Amino acid sequence: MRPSRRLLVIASLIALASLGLVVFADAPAVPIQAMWGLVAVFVAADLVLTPGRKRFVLDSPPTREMFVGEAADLKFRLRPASGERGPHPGSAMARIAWPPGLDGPAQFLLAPAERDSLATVTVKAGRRGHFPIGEVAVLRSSRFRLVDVVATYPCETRLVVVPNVRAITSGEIDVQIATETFGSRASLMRGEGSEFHQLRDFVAGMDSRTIDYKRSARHGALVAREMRAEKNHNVVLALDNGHLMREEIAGLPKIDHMINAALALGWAGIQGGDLVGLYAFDARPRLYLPPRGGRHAFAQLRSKAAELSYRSIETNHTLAMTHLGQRLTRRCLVVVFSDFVDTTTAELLVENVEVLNRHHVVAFVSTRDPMLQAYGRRAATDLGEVAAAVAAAGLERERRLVLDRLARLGVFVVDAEPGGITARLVSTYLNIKARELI
Amino acid sequence: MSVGASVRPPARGAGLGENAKGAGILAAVVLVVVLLVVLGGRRSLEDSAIGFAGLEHWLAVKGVATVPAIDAATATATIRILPVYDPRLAGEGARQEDGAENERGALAPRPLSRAEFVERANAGPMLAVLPKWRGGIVTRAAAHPDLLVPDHAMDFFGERPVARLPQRGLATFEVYDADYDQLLAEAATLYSAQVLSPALDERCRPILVLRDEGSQDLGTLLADCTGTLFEGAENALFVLSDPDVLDNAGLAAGDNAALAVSLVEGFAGNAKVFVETDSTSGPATAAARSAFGGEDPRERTIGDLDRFFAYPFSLFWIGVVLVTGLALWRGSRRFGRPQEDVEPAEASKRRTIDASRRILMLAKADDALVERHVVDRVEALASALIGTGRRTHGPGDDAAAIRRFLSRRAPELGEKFAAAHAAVTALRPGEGSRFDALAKFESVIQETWHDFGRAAGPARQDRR
Repeated sequence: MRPSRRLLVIASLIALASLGLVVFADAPAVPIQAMWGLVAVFVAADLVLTPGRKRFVLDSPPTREMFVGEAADLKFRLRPASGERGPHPGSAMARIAWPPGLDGPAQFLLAPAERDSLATVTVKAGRRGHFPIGEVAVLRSSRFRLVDVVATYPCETRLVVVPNVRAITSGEIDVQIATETFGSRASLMRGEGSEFHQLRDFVAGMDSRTIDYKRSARHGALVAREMRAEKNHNVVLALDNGHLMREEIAGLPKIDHMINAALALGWAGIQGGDLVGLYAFDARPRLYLPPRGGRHAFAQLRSKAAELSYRSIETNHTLAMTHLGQRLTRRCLVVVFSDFVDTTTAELLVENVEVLNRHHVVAFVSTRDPMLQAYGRRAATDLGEVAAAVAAAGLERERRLVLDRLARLGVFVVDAEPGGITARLVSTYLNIKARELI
Repeated sequence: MSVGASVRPPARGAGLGENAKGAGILAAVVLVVVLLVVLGGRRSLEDSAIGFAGLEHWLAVKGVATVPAIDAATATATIRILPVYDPRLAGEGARQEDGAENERGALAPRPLSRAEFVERANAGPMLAVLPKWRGGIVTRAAAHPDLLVPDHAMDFFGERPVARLPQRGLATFEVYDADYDQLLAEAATLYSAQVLSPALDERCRPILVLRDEGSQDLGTLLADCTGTLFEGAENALFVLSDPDVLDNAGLAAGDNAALAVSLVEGFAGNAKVFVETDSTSGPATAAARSAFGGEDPRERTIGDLDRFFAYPFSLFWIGVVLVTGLALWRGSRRFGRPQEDVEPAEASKRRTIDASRRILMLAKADDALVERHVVDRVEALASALIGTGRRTHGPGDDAAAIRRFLSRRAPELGEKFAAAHAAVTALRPGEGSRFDALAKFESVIQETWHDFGRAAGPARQDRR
C-alpha cells in the first residue's frame, strides 16, 4: 500500500493552510489540527476497509504463438480468491514491463465486470523470440481513494514470436503456385522443359521432332513426347544476418521481412517440387541446412529461421559467399537476402555475387526503404527540406547504381517495399524455373 | 509508409494530460508570485527602519494597552504617538527638495501639513516624534550620515526644532528625568543623536534630558510643549527630539526598548496608546534588516532560529514533515517494473540524412542545391512514369521525356511542367534565387504524381 495522489494533495493543502496561522496571527489553530485528525481517521478507516492483495487472483492468458509484425489480444482477469463470496475488485490499473520486442500499452484498465475485472490488451510483436511476461502489477484504489493498493501478481504467460508465415497459412502462395503451374505458363513449362512428362497423340501442327518413333511403332499410331520443366532443383536461401539487417523498416527489422519472404519462397519451392536449403551468415557462416524436399523440410526451415538471433556485427560477404560456393556441389538457385549502404561498401558484395553467379543462378533480394521514397515524394517547402530530399535521393541513387550493376551481371534483382517482396520473389522464382536456368 | 507516418503522433489523452500538468505548474507559479507580491506589498514605511510598527507590537507585548484606531470620542482618553516624517510640516503637494532626492531619498517620506498636525494635537493628548531621517533609509535599510535630514531643512512652527549632538555614529547617553530628578536606569543608544534646539527648549518644559558619561546635560530628549507651539492648544503635547528611541531600528539598539516602555508608561499612565501608522502611503521598502552604519549591533545567535520552529511555524513544519513522509512512502512503493530502455534501430538512416542535410546547408550553395534537387525530382518522376529501362540517359532527357508523356495525356499539365521546369532551371545568378521558383515547380510535380503516380507505380515496378 501507499498514499494516493489525492492524499498527498490533501496533506499538502493542509500544510499550506497552516501557513495561514503565520500570516494571520490571531487565527485559531484548532481547524488545522482537526483537519489532520480527520485525515488520519479516514486513512486508518481506508486501511482497514480495503481488501488486500491476497483477496484477489489474477488470471493470465495462456502461452501462445504469434507471428512477428502481427498483434494479438491478451485477456487478463482479476477475480476474488474466495470465489463468489469475496469482495469485488472494482476498477484497477495494471502495468506490464513489456520485454524489448513486444509493444503493448504501458498501463491498462481492468474494468469491473459482473464478479471480477477484465482487460483485453493488444500486443504487437516487433521481434522474434520467446518473451515471458513475468509479472503484472495491479493498482487498486481504496474505498476513500486515499490509499493505493499496489500488488504484483505472477504471470506465467509466454509469447513465442515466430517468423510470419501468414502468406503460407492463408494459401496465398499455394494459389500463386497453382496458377503458375496450371495456368497460361503451365503450357510453357510443359512444352519447353527438358524432363519427360507424357506421350500424346500426334496431331497436325505439332513439331515433328517430338515424335517418339519407337512408341509410335508399338502403338501403331504416331505419338509425340511432351516435356516439362525439370524438378528437384536446389534452391538455397542465403540470409545475411549482419547489423545492416537490424535496421527497422515499416515497424520490423529488415531481417524479419527477409525471413518472411524466404520462408514463403521456401514453401513455394517445396510445393513446386524443388529442394530448399537455408544458409545464414554474418561475420562468418552461422547456419547451413542442405537442400531438402517435402513438407517436413519446411518445418525444419521454419524452426531454424526462427532461431536466428539479431546480430550487431558487420557482414563478411567474401567469406560467406566463398563458403557457400564450396558447400554447393551442383548448380543451384541461390537467393541472397542482403543489404548495403553505398557503392563503396557494396563492392565486395558485388564481386562475390559475381563469382557465385558463374556457376549458379543468383537472385539478390533487398528491401526498399519507404522513408527514402517519402523524401522523394514530399514537396520541399524550405531549403532544409530541399537539402534533406537531396541527401535521400543521393542514398537512393547509390542504391540503384549497385542494383543496376548486379542486374547487368545477370543476377535477378528483387528490390521491393517490405509488403511486396514475397509476391515479386515467388514470381521471379517461377520465371527462373520456367526458363530452366537452374 | 511515409516519413510523417513513421512519427507516431501523441495520443489525445496524453496531450490533454500534458496540458493539464503545464496548466497546474503555471497556476502554482502564479500563486507563488501573487503570494510574494501580496506578502511583500505589506512592507511599507511602517515596517522599515524608521517605521513604528515594531513599537506598537512591543508595547502590546509589554502590557501597555494599545488601540489600533481612535475616533473623536476616544481620542481624548488616548495618547497618540505621531511620528512626523515631514521636516517642514508642509503637507501634501509642497515641494521639498535639496537636489539629492535621487541618491538619498525624499526629505519628507510621508507629508504632513501643519494643519493636520494641529488637528491631531487638538483631538487629544499626543507625543510628536520629530523627523530625523530622509526617505533613502527606507530602501537602503542602513544608516548613514548623508541620510540624515539637514538641520536647516527643518521648520517646526517657525523654529528649527532640533540640534545634532557632536557625537557621530552610534553612542550611548544617560537619560535624566527632570520631573523626578533622577537618572533613568535605561540608557539611550542613538545614532547621531539629536536633541531639541535651544529655541524650542525655551518654549517647552524638558522632561527627559540626555547626559554624557560626565553627567553633563547635552540637550532635551523629551519635552512637554503643551500650549506653547500654537494657539488654542488645550491637550497635552509632548515632543520627542530623536525618533531612534522608538522606531523599528532604534528599538533593537541597546536599552532603547526598555527606555521606550518606561518613556511611554511615564506619560501615558493608565491611558491607552495609539501609535499612528499609515501603511497606505510611503515608498515600498526593503525589510528593516539593519541598524546603523551598515552594521547590526544586535547579537546574532543560533538560538534566533528557534522562532522558526515555535508556534505557529511549528504547525507548518509538522505538516511539511507529514507530507514529506507521505511522499517518501508513496515513492518507496513502485507501481510496476521500469520499462527497459531500448535503443531504436530505425534511426540510423534518418541520422545520416540529417547529417547530410546540415552539411549541405552549411555549404551555402543554395542554387546548386536546388538544381540537384530538381534533377532528382525529374529523374524520380521519369522513372515512375516512363520506367528506368526506356529512359534515355542524358542531360535534359528526363525532363523532355516527361514533357512528351504529359503532352499526350494532359497537355495543360505538360505546359505547366515545361514552364515551371524552365523557370527553375533557366535562372542566372543575379536574377533571383532558384529557390523562389521552386515552389511552383514542386506544386506541378505533386500534381503530376497525383494524376499519374498511382497508376504508373506498380506497373512500372513489374516491368523493371
